[in-house]
Parts: sequence; structure tokens; C-alpha cells
Amino acid sequence: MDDLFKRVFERIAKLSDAEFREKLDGVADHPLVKVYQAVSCSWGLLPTLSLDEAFSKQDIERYLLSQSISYDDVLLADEWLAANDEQFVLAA
Amino acid sequence: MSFSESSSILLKGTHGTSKSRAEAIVDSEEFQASADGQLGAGAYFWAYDEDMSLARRLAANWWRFAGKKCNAYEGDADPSLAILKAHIEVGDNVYFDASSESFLELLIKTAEERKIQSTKNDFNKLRAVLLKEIEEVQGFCFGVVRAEVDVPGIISGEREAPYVYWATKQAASYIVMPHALGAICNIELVEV
Repeated sequence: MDDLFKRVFERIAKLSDAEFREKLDGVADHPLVKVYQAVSCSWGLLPTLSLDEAFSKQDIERYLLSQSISYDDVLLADEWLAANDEQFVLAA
Repeated sequence: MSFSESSSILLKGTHGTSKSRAEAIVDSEEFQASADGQLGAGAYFWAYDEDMSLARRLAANWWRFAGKKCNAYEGDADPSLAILKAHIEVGDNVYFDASSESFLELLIKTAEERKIQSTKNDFNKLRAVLLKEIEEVQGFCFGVVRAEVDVPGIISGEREAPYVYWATKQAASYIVMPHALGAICNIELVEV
């Protein structure tokens, strides 16, 4: 398998930028791309939000869900976000 | 290439969807390829081995996520939650682990070589490009791909984090490619 992967790496490495771009654009609908796109946001919290709110809150959640904070912090943040829905709408 | 030519692997997974869709799948005993779903063609499962509890919770949260964010079940006769479990029988030659160390090394090395910018989602696309290149070099397509993806820190309605959140913050999923949906068998509804 290592030899196989080396061959694949060499095939990609020697492509021109335009050829490589075409390869990338050609897989936009591939299931492996879709699955990572779908879970790229913090989707555990997102279900509690409306689409209109999602963008700004998602940014906040991404920060809150970084590995530098504890799970308790995440729970508190979720409660705060839920309790301040109206403020978010007004602020937006 | 047949999925039974080599020794086969038995995989187990859960799938969260609407009750209407789940019942249709159980009745027909098969998953239908759909190009207009949120994830595109193919079928997607949360992997488990012996203990289904986490995979069942992840399936439930996926249903909440897809329903709320994308109105995925709008128009369904019964959009309420249903969870399916199924077996996936696949030849080991057409099963690919996209979370293996060797593939991740290839992914990172290639991303560095091509100076991929993750902000354009190109990093995600590179995974698929590499997979397709491997298929092209080998001369056949993979039927099932294992991928480790982010899990939520919070499951809606629950106060405790799944242990996988503490362990890795990721969970394994199986992507059954559209041409390999016949590998899914023993489909059953799970009590919600």
C-alpha cells in the first residue's frame, strides 16, 4: 500500500495548477467531501438555532468549542445562548 | 468487481432519518441512491461494534441537525425521529479506511505539496481526489469508506457529553457509495 500511495502522491504532485484545480472542482459532490462539509460546524449546538441566527452564533460556538475550554464551559455557553435568543435577534 | 470476491468484512452502523423514510427503507429492505439529499448520493452510518448506545445517540442528533438546519424532512408524512441499524457486508479489497495513519500521512503530505488552503474547502476535496486517484491506479472503486468526523460536544436534551467527546472528539462513520448500496443488509428499526 505504501508504494500505491507514493504513486498517487507523485501523480498529484506533477499536475499543473490548472489540472489540480480541475481535479478539486470535480469532486465537489463526492460523498467523502459532503460528509466532512456537513459536520464541519459545531452541529451539536446548531440544532437549537434558527437559520437566521446560525451564522453569528456558529462563529461563537466554534470559539467556545475550541479545545482550550472545558465541557462545563460549553454547557454554560449553551444555556447563555438559549437565554439570550432575543438579544441576538435584536443585535443582528 | 463483485463485493464478495475477497474475504468480506462485516460492519455495523446506525442511521438517523425520518420515520417515513425509515419505514420505506425497512419495507423495501434497501437504501435508495439519492443525489438530492443533504449528503448527496450514498448512505451514511455511525459505526459501532458491540455497544450501539453512542451510535444511536449520534444518529438521533444527526436527525435533529438535518431537520432543523436544512429542513431535510420537510414534506415527509411523518418527519419524527427514527433510527435504523444495519449491517454492511463488504469485500475487504473494496473497503477503504480514510482515517488510517497512512492515508492521513498521504493527505497531509499532498496538501503541503500543493499548498492547499483549507478555507476554500479544498482540504476536504483533496481527500476525495486522493481516493479517486487510488481507485484509478488500482483499477476499481471502493464500496465503503470509513471516515472519522467531528462529534457534537452536546447531544440535544442530554446533560452529559458522550465519552468519545473526551477521548477524541471524533467518531467513525461509514460511507456506502452509491454503487455499493446492495452491501447494506439486516436493516432494522431501533427503539428510539
